Amino acid sequence: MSDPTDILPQAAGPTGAPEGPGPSQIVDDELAAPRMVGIAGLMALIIGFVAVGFGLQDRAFAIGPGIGLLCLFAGLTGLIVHAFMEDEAALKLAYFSGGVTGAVAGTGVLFLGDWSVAARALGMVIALSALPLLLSVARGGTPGQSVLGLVPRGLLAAGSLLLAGGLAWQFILGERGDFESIGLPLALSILGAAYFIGVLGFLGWESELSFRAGWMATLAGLGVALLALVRSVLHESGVWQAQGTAYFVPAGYLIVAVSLLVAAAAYATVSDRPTLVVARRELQGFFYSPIAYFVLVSFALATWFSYQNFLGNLAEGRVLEPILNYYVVELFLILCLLFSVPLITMRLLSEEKRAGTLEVLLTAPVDEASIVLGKFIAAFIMFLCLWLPFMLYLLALPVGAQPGFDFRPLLSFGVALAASGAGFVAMGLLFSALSGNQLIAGALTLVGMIGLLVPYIMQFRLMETSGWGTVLGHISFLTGWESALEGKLIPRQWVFSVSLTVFCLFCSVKVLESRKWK
Amino acid sequence: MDHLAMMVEIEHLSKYFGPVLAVSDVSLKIGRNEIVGLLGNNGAGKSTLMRMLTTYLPATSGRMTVDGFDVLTQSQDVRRRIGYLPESIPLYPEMRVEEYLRYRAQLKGLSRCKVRPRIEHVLGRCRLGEVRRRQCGTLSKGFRQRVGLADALLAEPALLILDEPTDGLDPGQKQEALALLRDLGREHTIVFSSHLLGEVESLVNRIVILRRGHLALDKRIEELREEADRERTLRFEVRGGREAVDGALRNCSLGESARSVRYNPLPDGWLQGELRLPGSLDPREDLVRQITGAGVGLRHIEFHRPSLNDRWNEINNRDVASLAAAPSA
Repeated sequence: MSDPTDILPQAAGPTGAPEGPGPSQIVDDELAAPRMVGIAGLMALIIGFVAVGFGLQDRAFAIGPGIGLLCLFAGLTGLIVHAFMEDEAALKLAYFSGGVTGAVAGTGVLFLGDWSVAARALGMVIALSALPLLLSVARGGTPGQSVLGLVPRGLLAAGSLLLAGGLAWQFILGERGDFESIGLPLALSILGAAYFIGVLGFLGWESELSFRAGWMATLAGLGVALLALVRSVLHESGVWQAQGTAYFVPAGYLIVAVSLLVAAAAYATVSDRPTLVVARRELQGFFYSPIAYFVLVSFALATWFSYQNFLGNLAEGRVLEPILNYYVVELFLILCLLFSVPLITMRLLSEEKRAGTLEVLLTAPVDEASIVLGKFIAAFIMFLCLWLPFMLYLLALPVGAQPGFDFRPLLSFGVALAASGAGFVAMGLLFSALSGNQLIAGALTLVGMIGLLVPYIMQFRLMETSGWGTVLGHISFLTGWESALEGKLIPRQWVFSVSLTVFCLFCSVKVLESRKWK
Repeated sequence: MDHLAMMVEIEHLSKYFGPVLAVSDVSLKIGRNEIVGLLGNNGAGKSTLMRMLTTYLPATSGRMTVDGFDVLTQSQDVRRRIGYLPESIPLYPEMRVEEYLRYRAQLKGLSRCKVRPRIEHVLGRCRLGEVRRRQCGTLSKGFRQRVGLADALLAEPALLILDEPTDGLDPGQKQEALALLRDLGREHTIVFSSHLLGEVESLVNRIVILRRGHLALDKRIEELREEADRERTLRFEVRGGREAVDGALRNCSLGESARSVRYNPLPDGWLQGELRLPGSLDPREDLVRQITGAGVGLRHIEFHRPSLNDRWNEINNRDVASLAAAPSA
């Protein structure tokens, strides 16, 4: 009888690993797709760059500067995607050198005072996009490759220096009352903060370096808040006359609030409190699912549409104060808001219930309130992220044309938006706790959102006939937004949102606890 | 026994789901470093009992303590002392194994300096090193079980509660899992459930059988073996007249048990005899001599002990009403 292995096909290759028919052949050209993306990105980048360059000099080109800008962004995205997937050392090095050039040139352009604002904004964008290119070289680096390990550390140090230097410069200028030249240090500190956060995100929030940096940022935030508070109190009490009152709304409290926020955010990344641990995981989970990107992109498009409309209205001069009303209270934007809240909140607890992970969660030493609060914080942050593009578009307004742009209504609008957003998210969380099915939870939340919109429509009808119109006006979040855009923060208009938040969170905790009563 | 020497004390525990009685008046004490096998059919109340022990579900009546802490009123203290592996092993599909374990370690309140060494320890212990960077959603059943077990072990819990840890594994994985459990039994008290009595026999030092929510049996494995020894029988196969065999048996020094012999004709014309034997008596040599001396053909002789599976079948066939009257057999 012959050896049985003769009859069998050769199952194992020379290395002993089974040689399957498919995957090993695909591995060879696995990088083809990212490389195509990279080449397309490079082409788009060049075209975009030329178009924007022509646009800046008011010269005609085949495509307008708007489309050019879009090409520029698309091209950069393509290059970044490729940079992170490339394994070839030479190409990685090329991207790294491109990143260094971009960072240095982009930052350098910021210092050129005689260049136009738009050109300097472009420089800022290039300096920001250089960061992922710089980081891509360190991807997949092992501890043995100490040179690659130095790249993120170096970038982190550069980011911290820019941030600290920029902030200190702003403080000095603020004390002198010299607000004309505050743009450069502001841009530098934003760039520094972006590098700082970007590098930490790249290293992972759980790494040792991130942990230390997180604590340092917490302490720095608290320190600045204290400094600004002392300065404000001294100014208010008349002991010492500070110059920067106009900028720091009023007498520096904006700086106190912002640095406290920074300290809180930094603390949230390092703390081991169960609430924050749950919130971090949830936020991470958002960005692993395609839904988050879908919502972010569609909301960014909706706000872009709204912004274009707003610009159209401005150009035709058909606007009355508060002009931002035409930007925010806009049918398409509100529709998108109605749909995006359920998309954010629907899976929060219902998915944990369906998958059974809730059982594991509730047998760890964590109480129901921590879980609910953690999920709420994550969804709330996600909700605020939706509005980032909206705020960024607005930045273009003062940069673009009008020096007299009053940003303060935006601050009060931010507060009103946060209050009503907390209500929406808490409501969605409650529905998600009630149902083990995401779709049902989402549908209920959508109905709830429409329900919250109804008072706005109804109030005008009832205003003339009865007192209910006024009551509905206090319930309607849009009415609250309108008055916030006028620069008025009226507590009675948040009472409803805040109580809705507290009530829904309380009920969600009770729903989770209800398994103990059944 | 000292009160605190007990890891788990369950007193008159009952649980209703609406009108359905899931667990009925169960009392149980589990000492430290015991490995207890909780057995029963589907719906016998095993998972419900375990979920109550993990503080996830409250009992309708009765009292439970873990390591001296009341499950109902000191639930956080209890949760710090247990590691739980649910039947379905729910994991977050998008998280990597290492990430998941880090998240769980933080939730369980491990201090920052202990997180990394503990994760390395459980990864090694459950042999997860090769999949540490893989996403949980892409893992096979066997690896999922190990990730669940690694999670349960993270905070060095005194009590491990494992709901069907070998369910759905292939025979090789099962052997591995059981070996790991045996190893863990040296440091932890383990309560685990299973459908298969034969499978756990080699591992546990105690067996608890639930049947429709009632405690049907609670015995140490040695007791069960002794019982089985008491009920052992001697089986032999002979060819020849029954009288001749009876005569040969009487000539052996068997006493009363010689009368208890039962015969069972085999299809090939041989006769199978079975007799109960008291104590440690071994009359095989004598019996062979006597039977062959009487001119009777003998082809097989052996002791037979009822296996735990026989016992299991016996309990399953017993009437529930009689169990309610005398809960621990």
